[in-house]
Amino acid sequence: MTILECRALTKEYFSGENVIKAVDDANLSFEQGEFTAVTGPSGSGKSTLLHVLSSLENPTAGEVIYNGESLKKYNDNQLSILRRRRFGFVFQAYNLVQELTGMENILLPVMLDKKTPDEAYLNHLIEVLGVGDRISHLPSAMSGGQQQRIAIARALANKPSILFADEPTGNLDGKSGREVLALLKYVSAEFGVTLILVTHDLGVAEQADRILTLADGKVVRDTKEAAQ
Amino acid sequence: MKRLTVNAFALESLKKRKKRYASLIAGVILAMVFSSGTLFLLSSLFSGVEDLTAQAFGNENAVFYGLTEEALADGRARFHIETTAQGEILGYLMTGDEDRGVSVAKLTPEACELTYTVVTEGAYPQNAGEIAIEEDALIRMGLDSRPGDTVTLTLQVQNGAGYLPVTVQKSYLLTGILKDRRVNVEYMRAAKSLFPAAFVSEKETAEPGAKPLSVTYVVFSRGAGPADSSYQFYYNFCKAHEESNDTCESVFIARDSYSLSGIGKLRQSGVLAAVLAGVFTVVSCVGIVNAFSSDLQDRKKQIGMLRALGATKLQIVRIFGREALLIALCAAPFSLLLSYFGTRLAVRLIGNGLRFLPDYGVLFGGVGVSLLCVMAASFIPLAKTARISPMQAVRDVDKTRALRRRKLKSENRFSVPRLIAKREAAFSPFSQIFVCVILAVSVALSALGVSYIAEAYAQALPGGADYRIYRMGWEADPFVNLDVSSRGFGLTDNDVQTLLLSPYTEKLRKEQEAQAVWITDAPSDYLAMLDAGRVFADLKGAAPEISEENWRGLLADIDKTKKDFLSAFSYENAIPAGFSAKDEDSIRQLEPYVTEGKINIDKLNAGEEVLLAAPDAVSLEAQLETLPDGTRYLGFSADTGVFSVTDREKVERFPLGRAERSCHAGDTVHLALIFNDLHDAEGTPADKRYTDCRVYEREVKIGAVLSIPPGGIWTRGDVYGITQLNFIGTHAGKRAFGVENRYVHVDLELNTPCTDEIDAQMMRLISPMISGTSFDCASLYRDAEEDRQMLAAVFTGLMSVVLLFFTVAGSMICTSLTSDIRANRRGLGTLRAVGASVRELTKTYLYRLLLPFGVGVPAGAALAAAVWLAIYQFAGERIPPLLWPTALLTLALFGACCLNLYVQLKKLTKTSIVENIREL
Ligand SMILES: Nc1ncnc2c1ncn2[C@@H]1O[C@H](COP(=O)(O)OP(=O)(O)OP(=O)(O)O)[C@@H](O)[C@H]1O
Ligand SMILES: [Mg+2]
Repeated sequence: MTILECRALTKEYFSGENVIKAVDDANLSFEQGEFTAVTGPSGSGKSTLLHVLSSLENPTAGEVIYNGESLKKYNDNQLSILRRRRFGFVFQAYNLVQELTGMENILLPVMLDKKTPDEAYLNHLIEVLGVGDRISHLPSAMSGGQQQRIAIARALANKPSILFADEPTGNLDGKSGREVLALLKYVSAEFGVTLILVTHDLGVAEQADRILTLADGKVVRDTKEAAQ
Repeated sequence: MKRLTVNAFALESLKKRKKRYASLIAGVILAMVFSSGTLFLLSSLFSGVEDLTAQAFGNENAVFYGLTEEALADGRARFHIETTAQGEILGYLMTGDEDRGVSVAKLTPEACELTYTVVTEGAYPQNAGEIAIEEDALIRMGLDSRPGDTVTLTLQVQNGAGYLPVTVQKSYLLTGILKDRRVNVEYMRAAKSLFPAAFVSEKETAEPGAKPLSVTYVVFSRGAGPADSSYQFYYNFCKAHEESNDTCESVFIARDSYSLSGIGKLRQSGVLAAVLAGVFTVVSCVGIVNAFSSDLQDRKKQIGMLRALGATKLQIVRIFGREALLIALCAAPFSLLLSYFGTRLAVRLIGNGLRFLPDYGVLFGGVGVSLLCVMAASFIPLAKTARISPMQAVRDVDKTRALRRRKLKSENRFSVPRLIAKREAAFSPFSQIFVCVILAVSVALSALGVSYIAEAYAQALPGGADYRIYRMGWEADPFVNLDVSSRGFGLTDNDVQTLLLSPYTEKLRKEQEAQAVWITDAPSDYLAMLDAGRVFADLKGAAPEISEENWRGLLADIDKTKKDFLSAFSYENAIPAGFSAKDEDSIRQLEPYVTEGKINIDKLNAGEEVLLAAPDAVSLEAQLETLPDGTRYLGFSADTGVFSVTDREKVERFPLGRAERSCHAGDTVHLALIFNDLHDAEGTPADKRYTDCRVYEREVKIGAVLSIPPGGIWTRGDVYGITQLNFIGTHAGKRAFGVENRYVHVDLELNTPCTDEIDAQMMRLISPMISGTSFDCASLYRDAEEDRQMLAAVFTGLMSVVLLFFTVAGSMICTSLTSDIRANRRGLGTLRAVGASVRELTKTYLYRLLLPFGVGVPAGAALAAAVWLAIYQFAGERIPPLLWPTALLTLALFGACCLNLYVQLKKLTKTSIVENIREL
């Protein structure tokens, strides 16, 4: 079942006179539970593609379709609810809320949704991510890796249907990186989470069901299409 | 490559962050305007009101007739005479009745200025044969002429201090009708006074054989010392020139004594101005500290980067200090303009003839001081920021620190907006507290100020009588205070009838007065002590021994005038007292003062009973005063002082004893009412005043005793009397004594609210009855109008201060929220990315607003209530609170803050989430 699609998706940035096509006419579809790795050189538009797909940024042209509905029709409030319930996002630069402790950051989407947290699930997440001892500190008192783990936990806290992850293991040592990746894969399989993950690490990419390769905003290779 | 200087960096930084600086500069301007602008406004208001007072009541303190050049020079040298202007009195103009004429004078333009007459119609005379006359004087002379008419008058030609025996018929062209602006200032203007009320041009020639009398208008300075006053200088000057016949007569016009709803006092209290200046400076400094703090908070990372790149602390301080200086310099001209035009506008809005009289010293001085304050204030957060280590700044450890200090606990269940608001507030407690305090002060100031002014405004409305016709202080012998006046002195029944017939008259109260004596062979200690209070004597250097034993004998020796007075009626001993006859209604209003007996109107009317108003107890003290010239005065003071003491340190006091009231309801007293139709009080020397008197005796019972509280109940017009012992009866009761006399005190109430029109009509009706006599009519309508004008000025001043407070509070709340939103862009973007809608973000900041409003406003209300209670406790003043203007202001402020919030968030949410969370 297709959960997310995009049609003729284009994102342009204007810097002075120049127009930068960060995403150029992308036509993609993602199946429920699928694990997609996005790779490409720096500046090729990986992050931008994720932002547009996850409604964090409006596309310049084209549309994103979630569960058969175009996101164009959604207003800000509906988009917010979609983000907090259905999407999880792990940023390249973590982006934790500075005023909140690690635990509070993790609980954020649940609390925004005014739901009772599933404690067992969250404890499991925290345990797997190995952030238990720093959980009650503010982000400014954590290392980069610790912040990244909190960010992942936050993205997964509400059991989203799609997890967007922008280099989630970039700041982790090899062992932790593998652990986190295993966790992501496990969650994705367990809860049927669709995983769209940007990575430079070819070892990571190889574990994916599908690999998208970008260059200058264009999708230059899609293993799924190739397979068909 | 361009060399990077501190200035260049600061300028570059200013340019790059234009918007950011615009709001910072706005904050600084506001703070500057707040301190210097308020002071400027107040100082301008004060000088404006001062000017208004001068306009309303004239400039001169005194008018001297026949003052010699030497005396004047001495006055300038020793007695603080500041301004003078001279004219010549040519004579006395009249139509028929000699008591109803006016003095005519030739004045220089400077003197015209000092007389403070205004032309209500026409103009001042320019040529010989022309004249301008005060409206009052025209009425007095029974003339109904208008400018352009020719008036023919009889002139008594001035011949030095007197007049030539023959009069001259003169025809003048009336060029103008004048009004004396000092009508509200009480001063004595007896019949046939020298006080000029008609003016001819400088070209007018004197009559043959005439010897014009000089008239000198004089302004005494206020002096510098706390005990100094114009009157003091006048008094000393007169005293010094009394013996040498340097001046033949003078009138003092006590402008100072006219109280202008306290604003005069306000003006004189430099302490208040200093306190205000201090408060405003502190508040604006804190505002500036706050503005820079939130700016630097925002820029901590930049500072951290600079430090990491190797900038020294000093360099950082220099860079940002230079920025602060540039900001202050940018803000200064705006502040100057804003203060100037703001004040101009305020003065214009008050209107009512208030002129804009700016004091540029205050303006520039204020702005200069606040410039320094900006520099000092900007340094505080700067020093704080420069202290932190580079990495700390980059990582924004402030929050961690605050967290550690507060032992924060992770919450398991929370409302996102509330928690974030709480944490954010906790990170900047200083600015939160400050905002709360300033909001609280604004609310309290506004609530109290508005209530008090509204009450004062309401009280300024004419209450009770609209017109009060009264005698302007008797010219009784000041040493004995026996006021034997003519039976024909005052308003007649006809006058009263005329007033009653006016379509505007609602109610009229009338009163008669008489000098009475209580004939008694053996006065009690109480009566003797009360009586002694009247007496003081010039001892010319003698120093009597005063004791509790000998004071009676001493008093008897001194009090010769009284003995002469009594011997004329073959009374051995008697106690002088006052007698007043009142309307029955007025008598009933005395009920609350009754301490013994009962008021029985029938018995009062029958002349069987009278009421006695007397203090419950009396304590006597002797006061020995030595003047600088060696003259000594011995006076007795019963209960309250009876004469003013010029130099308190030179007064010795001797307590002589105390006595409880000895007379009671039910006692029978032998009273005599005494009049003198031939030589009434005015202008008659004391020795003549007590001959040819008429006496009306009667035995009456004291029906009730009224207790007079210290300070008396005189001022309310309830009890009028001339000694501390007053008998009161009805008009019918007084007739039982067999005497017919006139009314010396009439209160008139209108049946409609007064207007300029009605006031003019009433004054036309009353003026002929009192002009040329020592009676005056106080129009409460006019007084109230003036009071209200002054109150409007005070109110505008207060409201501008309150508005300033609110504006500062509002701008601080908005600045801190705006800068928080801006600094927290990334956090807000993250929240949105995680799924918070704009509604939740708005809620977060609404919670932030709730803190200052939820704490500051109730705190302000509590503060106001506390002050209100304190005033009630200590001053006994209970002012009805008037709160809606404050509520409205608070709501408006809240609305403005919400609006600002909305605009800021709208701006934020218009940019994409990614844009916001991007690393800065
Ligand atoms: N806000 C922006 N304004 C202008 N150009 C932008 C903006 N955001 C991204 N770009 C440009 O768009 C292109 C794609 O950027 P993006 O961040 O998506 O690359 P990326 O593939 O994620 O690179 P990296 O692997 O380094 O993270 C880049 O050339 C970048 O310079
Ligand atoms: Mg990227």
